[in-house]
Amino acid sequence: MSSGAASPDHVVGPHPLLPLLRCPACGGELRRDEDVLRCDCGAGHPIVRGVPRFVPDDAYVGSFSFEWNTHDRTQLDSARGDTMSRDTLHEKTGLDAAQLRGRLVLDAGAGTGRFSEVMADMGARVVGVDLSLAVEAAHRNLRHRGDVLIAQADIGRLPFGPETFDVIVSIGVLHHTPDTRRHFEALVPLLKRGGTIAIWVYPDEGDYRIRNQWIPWTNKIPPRLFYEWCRWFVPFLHRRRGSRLQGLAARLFPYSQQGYGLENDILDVFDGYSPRYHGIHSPAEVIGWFEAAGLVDVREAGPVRTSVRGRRP
Amino acid sequence: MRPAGPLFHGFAVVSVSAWLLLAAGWLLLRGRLPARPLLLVGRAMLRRRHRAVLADLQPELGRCFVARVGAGVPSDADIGSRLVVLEDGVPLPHAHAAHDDIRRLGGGRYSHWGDNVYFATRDDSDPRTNGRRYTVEER
Repeated sequence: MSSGAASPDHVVGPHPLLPLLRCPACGGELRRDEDVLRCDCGAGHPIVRGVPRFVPDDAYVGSFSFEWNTHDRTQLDSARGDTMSRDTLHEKTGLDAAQLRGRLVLDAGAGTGRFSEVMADMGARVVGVDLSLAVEAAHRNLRHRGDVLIAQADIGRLPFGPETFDVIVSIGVLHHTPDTRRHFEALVPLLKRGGTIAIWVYPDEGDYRIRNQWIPWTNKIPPRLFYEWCRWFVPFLHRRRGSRLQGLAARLFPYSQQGYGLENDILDVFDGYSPRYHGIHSPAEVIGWFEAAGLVDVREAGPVRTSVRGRRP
Repeated sequence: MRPAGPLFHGFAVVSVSAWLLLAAGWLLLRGRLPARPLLLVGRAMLRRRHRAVLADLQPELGRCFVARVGAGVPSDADIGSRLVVLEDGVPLPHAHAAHDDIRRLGGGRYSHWGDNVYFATRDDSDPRTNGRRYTVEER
């Protein structure tokens, strides 16, 4: 794994990507004043535990703060020793090393930094943002890298100037916002002319529809309690693979059997059922957003449903 | 994160399971969850295990033949099949096979899907003319 221009605990020192950050209130440049990024408009944005913060808290994504700090390395290729995240990135965006090398990329909804790491390994410079406290896990995972910057921010109000990025990716994130389309539209102006944006959102079909029915019930359960239940439920069904009970459970309460290990399946069940927002969308609907936003070369990005990419003319 | 103690773990399992059972009941009553899987399991528990001779075998594609099993026996299209296909009383070796594999590879692969069983004989011969008897049995 390439570690880019490594500088230990980068935000303590000047990070090469830090100058990209702008004041989300006025768009002005920020200057560093010890552990605060200050703007001439009077706004100040603290750097807490190494991460610039542009939101006061984790708002409606507390479940993600919990899960990604519990499973901070479960999906990280460098920790797993496989290419799970690299393969997922390619399947859901169609992007590969040739398209990412030397590019400036925004990873919108970075979580623990699994895709940021993969893209940086491919030679991209990556800014990963997330509304949740997953940024602390991402920072722990990637702080040695000079080619990845992590910040806590709301996708609807990001701290960047217009036309900043060559590539924007958002995989499995926008459907967890209160308004998937509006948050997608907030990303488009940040894309340079000729740049590519690729997203994947939950499809309006199959298990996702069933899960959508459960969400109002499951997301009321305190995260710690629900997580503990997932730690019982998933191994319980894995041990009964092929039984009627397992078959029935899989139809009524679709659960993860991804083949990437038990810990990943536990994480994925929690991830799927605990969020406050769980939007589901058809490919045609998502393609319509791209076209309405003025993007061109819009197409489904890969074999996974509702993965769509387009280019800014 | 510190691992939870057994007391908290037990409380989580019982309380969340109870909450989700309540939710499942509500969602089934409102028609928001598919009731068919539950009905299939209920029926399967009440009736005798299905046994039948496969008749009216039809060639499908490649090495695959198809025969009707009958409605009401849970298949891999529902909650998972427990049907075994037997060739002269001996189970074929590969259950729950992908249909494309049955067609291309044969070799005793089979799948119970919907109301039909898709299968290839062990030696890829034609089951209509090889003189063997094909039966299914729910286990």
